[in-house]
Amino acid sequence: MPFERTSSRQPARDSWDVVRVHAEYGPYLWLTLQRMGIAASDLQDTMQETLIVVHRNIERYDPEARMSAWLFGICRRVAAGYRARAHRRYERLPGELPERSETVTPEQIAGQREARELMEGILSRLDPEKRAVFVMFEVEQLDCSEIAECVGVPVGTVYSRLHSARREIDAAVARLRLADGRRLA
Amino acid sequence: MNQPTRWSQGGGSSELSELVRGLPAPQPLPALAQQELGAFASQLGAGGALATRAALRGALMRRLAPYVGVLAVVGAVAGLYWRASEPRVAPLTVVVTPPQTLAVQSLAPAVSSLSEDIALPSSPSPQAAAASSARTSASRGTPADTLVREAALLREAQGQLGSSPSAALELTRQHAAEFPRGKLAAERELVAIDALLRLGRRVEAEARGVRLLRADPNGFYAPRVRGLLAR
Repeated sequence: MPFERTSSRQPARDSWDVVRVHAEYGPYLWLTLQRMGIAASDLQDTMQETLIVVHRNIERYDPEARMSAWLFGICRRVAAGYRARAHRRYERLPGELPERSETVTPEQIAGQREARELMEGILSRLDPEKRAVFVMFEVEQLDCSEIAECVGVPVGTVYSRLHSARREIDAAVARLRLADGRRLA
Repeated sequence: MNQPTRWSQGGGSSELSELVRGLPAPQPLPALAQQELGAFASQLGAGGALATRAALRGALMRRLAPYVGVLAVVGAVAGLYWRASEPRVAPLTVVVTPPQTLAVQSLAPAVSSLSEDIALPSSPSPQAAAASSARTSASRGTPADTLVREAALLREAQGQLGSSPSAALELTRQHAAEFPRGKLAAERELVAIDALLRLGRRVEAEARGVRLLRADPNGFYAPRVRGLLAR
């Protein structure tokens, strides 16, 4: 399982605060932010930012909804802001898809590290929700039902996001292959 | 509906399968980070904007610890410049301590005293502007993140409220200029409203309060804004 809360009972609305959210869902937030593309070096700061958002909005949490789904939505917004800031800081995200140029030869992009960077670059262009579902399914090898539980959406939505993510990745890989005239891995 | 086959298990081309296999899996939350984040959450949960500032101050200390030496040197240079340009101004006293010889916890007081040494005087002056500029340049030169720098600036503004609300208001203007999309805009507005009220500029304070309440009528700070305006 990607994450299990210590208690399955949904607590009363007024019993939730940021301390409890961190205690029960801290590991979940940590994993989710990574799945959405937060770099390891920025994880702790991004977690703090996420906890501030949780703290400010906890009164808006609807106890009828899944806490994990609510937090997933917060992570998505935080990750989107992170990506926007990363674009401003670096013009492009680290590991983002390189443009075709004379200096990049097939030999240079051969090898595991280069392939991984290419894949990271492709993933950085995905919507954080789709990216998270893709990483959970393909990298962490979770079942779609587990992902649905974790994200707080129906299984059909997981299939849909996964399908969409795969299609986008497949297309990006095909474009790169076309540009470089060789297999990427 | 059947679950799709994973790319790594034949659901995609061998190329896609290889690419996916090269991706690192997300790592679990390390115990130390969990402990630190738990403390951060506790400070947040202890209540309100003051707790938020305290939590962020803790983060600031942690982030600045490796750079105390750099900040001290910048402060010393600013002090020398000050002395050269204005002999009547008391010299800036900075204790330079090699950061690599100290534990993180023991650096916190050093950072505090440093920030006090370079704090703005009670009323804005050319020296204050120079100090502020030096401080801003120093903070920009560090890799401390935007959120921490925002918090430091607002902490300074909050500290000026009692003695010099006009300086506090000026610092909130500086915050707005430096961080137009800052994460702590709500906190900034709270300080600005408080400063305006202390300066007797109630109409402006109410206008800002109403704007804040309109943007987020049920937000975390709404009761605080109402409380300030009811004074």
